[in-house]
Amino acid sequence: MLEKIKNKLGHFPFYVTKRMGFSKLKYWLIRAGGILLAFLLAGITCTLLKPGSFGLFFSEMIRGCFDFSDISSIIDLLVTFSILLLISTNLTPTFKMRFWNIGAEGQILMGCMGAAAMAKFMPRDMSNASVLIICLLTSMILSTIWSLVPAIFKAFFNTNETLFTLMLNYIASILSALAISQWIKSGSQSFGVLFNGVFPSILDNTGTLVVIISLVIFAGLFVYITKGKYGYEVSVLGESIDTARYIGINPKKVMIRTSLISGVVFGVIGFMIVCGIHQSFSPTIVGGQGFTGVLIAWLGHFNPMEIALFSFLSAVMQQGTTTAASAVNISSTQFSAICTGVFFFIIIACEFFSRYQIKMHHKEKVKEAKEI
Amino acid sequence: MNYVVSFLSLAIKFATVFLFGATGEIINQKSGHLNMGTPGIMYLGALGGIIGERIYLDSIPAGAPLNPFMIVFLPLIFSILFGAIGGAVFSFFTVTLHCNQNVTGLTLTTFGVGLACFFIGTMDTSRMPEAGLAMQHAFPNYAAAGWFGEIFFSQSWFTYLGVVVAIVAAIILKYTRVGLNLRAVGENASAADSAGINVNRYRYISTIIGGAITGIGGAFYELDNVKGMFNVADGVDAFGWLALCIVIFSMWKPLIAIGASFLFACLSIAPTFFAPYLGGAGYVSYILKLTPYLATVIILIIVSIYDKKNQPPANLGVSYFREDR
Repeated sequence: MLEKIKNKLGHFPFYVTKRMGFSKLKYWLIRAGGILLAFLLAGITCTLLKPGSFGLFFSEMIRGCFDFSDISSIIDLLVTFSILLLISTNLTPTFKMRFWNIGAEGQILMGCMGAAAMAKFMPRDMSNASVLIICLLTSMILSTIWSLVPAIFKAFFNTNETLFTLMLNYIASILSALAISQWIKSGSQSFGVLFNGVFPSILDNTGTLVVIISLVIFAGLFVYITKGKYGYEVSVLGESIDTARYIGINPKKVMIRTSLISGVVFGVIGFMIVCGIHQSFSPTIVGGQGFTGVLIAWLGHFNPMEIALFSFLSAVMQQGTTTAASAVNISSTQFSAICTGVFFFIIIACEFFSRYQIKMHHKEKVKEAKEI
Repeated sequence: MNYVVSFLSLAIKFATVFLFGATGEIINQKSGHLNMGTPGIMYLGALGGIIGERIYLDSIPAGAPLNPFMIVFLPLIFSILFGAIGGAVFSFFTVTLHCNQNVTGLTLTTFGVGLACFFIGTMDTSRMPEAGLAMQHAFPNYAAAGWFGEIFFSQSWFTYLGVVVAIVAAIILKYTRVGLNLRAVGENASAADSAGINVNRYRYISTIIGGAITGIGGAFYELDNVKGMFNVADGVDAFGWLALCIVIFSMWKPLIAIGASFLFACLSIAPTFFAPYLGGAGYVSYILKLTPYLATVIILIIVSIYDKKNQPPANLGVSYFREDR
């Protein structure tokens, strides 16, 4: 039918155009609607799989995230949130200069591997603090290598950084499997719990310090991105390389410096994941958060405050749906993945409706055409 | 000798999975779409294949002999359908809604893997192993041709279909007007638009066809190799990511992808195949696993430094909106 109308009119009855006059309120209303819809869809999916579980789903979801009588579940949520927040904020400068680094997963994993190696092999009579410092330095170095190599090739040879960083993710994952197989000879292939190099507990939880450190680094990154010369250079480079050259910015230098800084921060994240959160190590320890961080950075428009909001929402989504799914007895990790997928799809779609609008061509003519 | 023959035969079987993924992704990327949803689409195709097989197995009376045509045909149709839906979702978001391709692709992977794993885990697997065995050989008398038959004629219909699809894709991309237009869309969408090519239509169709082809690969792996013994750790997504490597490794040429798929398949089955002989040298298997990725990185670097002809499509990853020109 559309083709018929098109033939009659010479064009489709509607067309897409950029929104003029950007209303912030409308934009956030669209987004809020999208977020509500995503949570609602998660509940509906759950009900379809287990009839009658609609109410239970939401009550379990809230209990899983905001149970103030159980401080550890709150800290777990905050840990997930702060790690996501840090990953996506740290990706922001690289994305801003149009360096599509999708290798956060691998860069963090290399950091984890460095920290784990040091924590495991430093002599046991060393003090915890000195082991922690050595872990931190090693993880920073390894992450920086992983982040710097694609940047150097991008700067000098314009090698496609998306594909390069993607490959480095898998190389990192295989290397860490290799490392574990060499470290653990017993055949159990599991790393076990760290003896040394463990974060001190605050509120009975080693995660608390992770949250504190993350927020401090986040504040630093916030200043680095929004104020000062470095952040400015990065955003000019993203807008136009020629403009950057014209005002005396060296694109290669900025690209390499930005990747260096992001590598160092990824090192800290890897260090916190191993020594602070899990006190253990496995090739899947990052758990896809590196990829989720990419999504959040983009959906937050590289604005640290929006990124914070989306990190929090997806942390709630992940933890809430996992709790709810196990409460109604369905496979929780996959259900959580489905819900996260739907959540991001809806937010992506909201982007469209806030940036573009659909307009109709001559309404009368369309009506006439439809009557034929 | 026997050992080499069975190794090569198994490698060709695994190469089929890679080949479908790589051919589909090449068609995507030639239109300027870097579809990182490939692992998700592959899993969706796998889900489709399993559903197709289930429908067939449920439709026949218990204990009835399996029809060798139907056990291939129905899963094939369903995997094409599911893969195409995955591709359509991707192109709806990237073409119509002008969304970032990396973001959409990664979301599609998260979603597709979650969805497919969820439902595959709940699937009834009765008679699936039997069906898997029944579809394993397209020519039941392959052994008559000696070792040559063991390697080349012992494969399932999917394998031969994969090679045919890759060859057809190569011919279409290189020698037809449609292929030329498609490449133009991938290289410079606005120039193609000025030349009167419908950019959006080309991008939609190429992504949907690419998705459908990718989906077949996932279905083939689950039905023929896994044979109904599904569990969460099937790892179809690993094939999807490696298929992305093969696309780069073969420099966006489907014919080279046939060879590259075979090579990658050899490298990925070698660790398990030769495990009994490696003894204490466990690290060898990891190094073998590492080789495809390292080789891909090296090819990527070499191509970017020296070879100005075999570059990625210039508009790879760039959404096109006419008003932005």
